[in-house]
Amino acid sequence: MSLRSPQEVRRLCQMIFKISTADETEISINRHRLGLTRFANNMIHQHVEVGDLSIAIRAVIGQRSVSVSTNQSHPEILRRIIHSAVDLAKRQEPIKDLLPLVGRTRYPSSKAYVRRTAEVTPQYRAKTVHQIIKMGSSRGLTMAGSFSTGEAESYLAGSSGLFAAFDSTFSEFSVAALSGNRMGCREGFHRDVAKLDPFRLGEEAITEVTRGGEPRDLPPGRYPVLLTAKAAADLATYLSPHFGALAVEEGRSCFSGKHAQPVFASLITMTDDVFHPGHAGCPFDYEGTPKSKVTLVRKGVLTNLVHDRATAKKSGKRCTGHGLPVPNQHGPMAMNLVVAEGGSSFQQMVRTMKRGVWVSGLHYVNVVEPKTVTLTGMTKGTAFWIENGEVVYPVKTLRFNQSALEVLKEVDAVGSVQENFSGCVTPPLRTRTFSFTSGTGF
Amino acid sequence: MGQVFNREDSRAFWASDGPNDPFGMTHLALFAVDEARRRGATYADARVMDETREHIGLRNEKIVSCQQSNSLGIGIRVLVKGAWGFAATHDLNKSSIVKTARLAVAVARASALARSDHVQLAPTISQKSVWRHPVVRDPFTVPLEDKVGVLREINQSIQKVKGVTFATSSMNFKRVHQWMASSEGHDIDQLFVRSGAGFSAMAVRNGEVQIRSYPNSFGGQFEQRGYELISRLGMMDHTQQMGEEAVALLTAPECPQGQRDLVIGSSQLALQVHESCGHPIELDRVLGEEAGFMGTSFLTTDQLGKLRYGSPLVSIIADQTSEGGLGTFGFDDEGTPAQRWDIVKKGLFSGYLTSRETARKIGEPASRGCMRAESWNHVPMIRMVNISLQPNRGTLDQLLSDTAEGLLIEGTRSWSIDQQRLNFHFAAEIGWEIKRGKKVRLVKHPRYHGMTPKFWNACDAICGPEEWKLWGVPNCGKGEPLQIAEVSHGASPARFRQVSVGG
Repeated sequence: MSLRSPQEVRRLCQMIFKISTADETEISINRHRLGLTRFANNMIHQHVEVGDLSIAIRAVIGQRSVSVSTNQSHPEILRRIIHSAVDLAKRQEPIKDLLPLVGRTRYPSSKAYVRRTAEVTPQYRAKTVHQIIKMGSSRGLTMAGSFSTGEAESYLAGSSGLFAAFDSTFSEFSVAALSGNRMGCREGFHRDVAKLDPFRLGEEAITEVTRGGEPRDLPPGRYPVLLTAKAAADLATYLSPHFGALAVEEGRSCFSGKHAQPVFASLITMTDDVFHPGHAGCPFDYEGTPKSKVTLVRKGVLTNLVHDRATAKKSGKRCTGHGLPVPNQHGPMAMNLVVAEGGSSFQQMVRTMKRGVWVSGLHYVNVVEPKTVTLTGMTKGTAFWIENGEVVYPVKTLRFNQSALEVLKEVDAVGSVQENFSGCVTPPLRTRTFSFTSGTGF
Repeated sequence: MGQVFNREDSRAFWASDGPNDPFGMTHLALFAVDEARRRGATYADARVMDETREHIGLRNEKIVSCQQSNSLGIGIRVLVKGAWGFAATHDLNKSSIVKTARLAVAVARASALARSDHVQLAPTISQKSVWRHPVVRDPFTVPLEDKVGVLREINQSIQKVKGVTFATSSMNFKRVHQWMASSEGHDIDQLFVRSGAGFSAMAVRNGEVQIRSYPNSFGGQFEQRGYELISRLGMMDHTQQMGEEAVALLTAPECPQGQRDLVIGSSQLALQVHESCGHPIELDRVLGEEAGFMGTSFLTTDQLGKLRYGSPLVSIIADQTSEGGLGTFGFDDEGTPAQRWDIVKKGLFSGYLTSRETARKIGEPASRGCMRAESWNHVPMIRMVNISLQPNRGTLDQLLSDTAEGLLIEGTRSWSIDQQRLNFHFAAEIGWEIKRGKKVRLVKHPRYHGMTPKFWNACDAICGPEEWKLWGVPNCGKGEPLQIAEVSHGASPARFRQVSVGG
């Protein structure tokens, strides 16, 4: 069955609702197409054009719920899937507190689809990559990275009358410029490929790797650190699960028991805002609730949490549209963080830094201790030593063990320009203290 | 492990088990390859994959996941003008396959714009075979209520332990039927059935979270087996112990820091092998092909046969034939047959994970058969298989009695390693101080860190085969777009002298 338009999707959903004998039937349809051009050693070594379709049918019988999905839209296969979901649901055990499906709802419009991004060809990506490679190889560098573009459609429909639709495009460019053991790296992401600037990113990566001579060792210790927007985003995304109402209620969150208390420096205001131009912009969550912008932390004070329908019902608060697929064990999650801009340009943040480390990105980060959100990982790209407001020399790759909470509590400058990264839009942040525990020799 | 049938014999096999290719998937794969050749590919391969999955999860008494999914499609990989292209579709009608083959060729032609050399492949021998790993009980024939019943019983048992906040348990099942064909005459039909299950006891107090998992963290143990795995795991025998340990950890003292003799349990050591050996021996990574994403490797080609990777006790093998291994198969995605070879031999770095393209680059006569794609819409790339530390001798109790003072750690909580796979950091679920050969005190937040070759050269004891276990790691990530591979690592507990603990 063709699914070329929302009208065809509606017809498919009506067909499924007619066949299903469940009390309620929920259908989630997702389709995506991705083109990705990967390069290393100054050449394209992998190049793919792929896509997929997913049709997931959740059958609800009383308090029983089972989801069965397929990537085939043939009516006979869908018929089998529906019967399978209904049959399994009948044999399932009841799920406590299972809520009925969301009904007919209006959603804010979201302009996340840009035709020229969807129409990018493999040839266009290859030509761009070829030029980036030449930029670096002409200077004796080895270039690596990837350029991806694509489009995605999501539909959520329910026998309750629910019907939500969203489409979007994405383009992402990452580049690493290598010289010996040293690396400079940059990433960019935008729904509109015309607003993604691979050449600027390439130049910045090249500047990073060629700046300042041979990297030096830095002894382990605590230092003030200037995090670029990328490094700040790498860190901040680990806070996403902690803003969920269920995690807070169950005591699993670092914010449990801290409502209305200062949790970050007063310079930090953080929201969850899927409608920010830097985010993907889907206007509904996995339950079909319209998403809303939530101020999580205002001037350092924990202000609001995100809710799904279950936590909202239990707490008497408004559902904020942050639900995951039902059922799940995590509860609501804040997945579109936005750190508000501050007043300092990046150059000012460097100039007013007496001593410290400029960190471009983070590598292989993992949570060591969830209560304090203590993370371990490596610096990525080239870090630089700053002294008396000047970038003095590059430093070798460092391992850090550092609480993300402490980093944000000790922020003393916030950059004036936000950048978009998956899950977090943020400006650069400077913090008074950051713990590096060891080095690695390169 | 597993049975390979010649194509000519396979009719008898099918006759006994019913038709295995009722929709002519082999024909579709061959058709795709022919179409790609017609469009100008000098080499082409195609994989049709039919994948079914099931996940069931309970948290305390509540069902938090109950899903079944199926995915069917074809991926076509081509070489045109010495450059790679790949395209895939879920639509298996012939006109869609024609379009996809054409697209793969167009992608390869675009790649050729930015390629200074031509891809060359090490020789291969064409294979026409059917491969199956024995399965006693197909997990997809087991009633859902039986599975939920098992998990419910586990959770109820854990929750009887005072102080436990959450009991979570899950089962995962996957069946993949793959038909692969190539322009060099490959025609391979393989069927994989993988099962996994496990539980965790979580104790939460004042924001502190302690977890104990069995048989392993992050979803449990995974093997290439059917539902028979579930009873073999003996989960009910360990619910009380795990619950009690999780609660005890809340009030246990912090793990002491400093240089310590460290005894690492089997499952945590398996992850150590994964991060500090499995990844750095991926030859595409060594040759710089992952530099833009997850890094390179300190095991450069000039080190092969020369670097003292570990002490003479340390021997690590790659084995695509290990019984029940997630990295066990008949043939990789390029049609190279399964094999077994040395990676580290008595401490000396001895081998890589290779493909036809990378084997040729270092002058090896043939691929080691490590090309594996997550699914039909992912391009094959070099992945781990079963990478295992060979056992030595003795039981864990004997090893502990031989350790005057140190630390024993088990279970994984977190892991991190640098871009060349040198500087690593691991945190475990639980630790015990060892004094005068005995476990004396429970400690929490045990962590250790080090540099890979120094660490492995500090290994002075490895337990014997009686303590060796092949652990399934179902979530190894690599590549762009990210691919998840299922791999296994075997290890016995082992001792490492003077390791940095804490941090």
